[in-house]
Amino acid sequence: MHDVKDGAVARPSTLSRRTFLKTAGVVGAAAVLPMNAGSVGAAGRPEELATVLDISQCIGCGACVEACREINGHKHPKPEKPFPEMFPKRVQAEDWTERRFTDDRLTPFNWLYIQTAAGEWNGKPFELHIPRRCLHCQNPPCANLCPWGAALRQADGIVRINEKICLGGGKCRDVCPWEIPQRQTGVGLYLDLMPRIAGNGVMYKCDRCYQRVAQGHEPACIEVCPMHIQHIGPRSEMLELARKLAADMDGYVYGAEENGGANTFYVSPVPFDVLNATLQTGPGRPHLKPVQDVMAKAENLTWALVAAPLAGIAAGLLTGARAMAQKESGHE
Amino acid sequence: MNSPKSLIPAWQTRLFAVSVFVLAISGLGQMPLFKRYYIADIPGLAWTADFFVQHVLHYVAAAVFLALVAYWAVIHLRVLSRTCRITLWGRLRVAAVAALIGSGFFRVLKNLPEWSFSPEAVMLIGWSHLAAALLFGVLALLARVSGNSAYVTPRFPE
Ligand code: SF4
Ligand code: SF4
Ligand code: SF4
Repeated sequence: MHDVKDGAVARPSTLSRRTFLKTAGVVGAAAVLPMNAGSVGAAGRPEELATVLDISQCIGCGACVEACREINGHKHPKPEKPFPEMFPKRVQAEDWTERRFTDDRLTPFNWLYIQTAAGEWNGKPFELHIPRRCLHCQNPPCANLCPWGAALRQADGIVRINEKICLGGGKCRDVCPWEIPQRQTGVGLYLDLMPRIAGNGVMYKCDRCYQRVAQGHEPACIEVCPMHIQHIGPRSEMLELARKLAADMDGYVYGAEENGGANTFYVSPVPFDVLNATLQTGPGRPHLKPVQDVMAKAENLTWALVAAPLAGIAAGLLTGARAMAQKESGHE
Repeated sequence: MNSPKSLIPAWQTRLFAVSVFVLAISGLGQMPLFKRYYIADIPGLAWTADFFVQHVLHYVAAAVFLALVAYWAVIHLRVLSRTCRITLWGRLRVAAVAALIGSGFFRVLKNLPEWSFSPEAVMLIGWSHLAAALLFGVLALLARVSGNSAYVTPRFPE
């Protein structure tokens, strides 16, 4: 469905910033207004924003990580201690306050980190740096399956967690193919409900600097990068750019099909399975494996939810008509 | 005569009960509780902590539930309403079911990639579906213990 043919596409010059601002402005002003034809999707609504990261250009300086912390610091957790005791005992508090400066993995205080892949491919050594954060899936299980309405996907494709109501149950992390969201205990709405028996804090992740984007600015990590490795703009244009960059370097794209399509495309000169094999992965350190569309099954079932009541109505009309006919013709 | 009994066979009410049971379990299963409270540790019940299984179960049971509700609504409007009326407890539960279906509709819509709602709307959809489910559960329980579980009663008792 999201398949776009590789091939000779003219590289859009400086497109990303210009169209991005156009898109962001309109999306920010009115999430439902259609825009210029170029960026209106098939459904007639503004196209989602996507980012391209050319990891061949990243020097691993960490400026983006710093900028993310600084710009989004006011959204970081401010937990109250001591934490309420939780029941049953197996429920552990997750506390990052002592490790708030950890920057070699994702944490509630660190929504972006630089992953390094080093090894050998095609007989040549490589060392590549990969800025890792939420990929902003097109059909995000974290948002679809949040039972509480705290995780959501905006019309501009940004997936974020409403920290005012998140209870920190952590289902979003369990269902995310990359286990991106990170928990901080002792903060959020659960403290005002039944802190002992339900909830465990608030989940945090990259929110694509949604306030800045709404005002027409670029996300902090994109703006600050000295190598300009990231681009942001309407998804179709970004996908085209990613494919073009990949074709130019005889490289590969990650994120176009993963989990049914993300709004983040990594471009690498080395295949992603080779990169993945050299990565240190684990909690807070996502992999680069291929990912099936985890929402596909449920999405396919949507038709059943439409067909079932229609079938019920049809059966009801039939049975009703038969019952009436029987009554009129006199026999029971 | 077209009595509720002749038009709504027992297998339908039984199927309805099964769908409500599965909806309740898989609805609860949407919340991260079965693992926390050791249910998923019971041999054979590990699936209760699998959110994707629970989600598919909820959709399948909802389809059965919707088919039956739609069928009964038509039967009632076309035939039964001539001879039967809905009881007070019936009306209350019908209202709760309407709220469940309405909020569920928007929840399904929200899950489609083509639709996005504001944070407030997403919260409203989630919370009202939970509230409607709770309401239906409480009403069903009260109706049963008070001996008022019948949805309809004959207009002209013989
Ligand atoms: S700022 Fe740019 S070059 Fe530096 S680590 Fe981040 S993405 Fe890489
Ligand atoms: S990467 Fe994970 S957290 Fe981000 S949108 Fe996708 S499922 Fe949600
Ligand atoms: S988009 Fe914003 S929140 Fe996300 S990693 Fe970049 S700076 Fe951080």
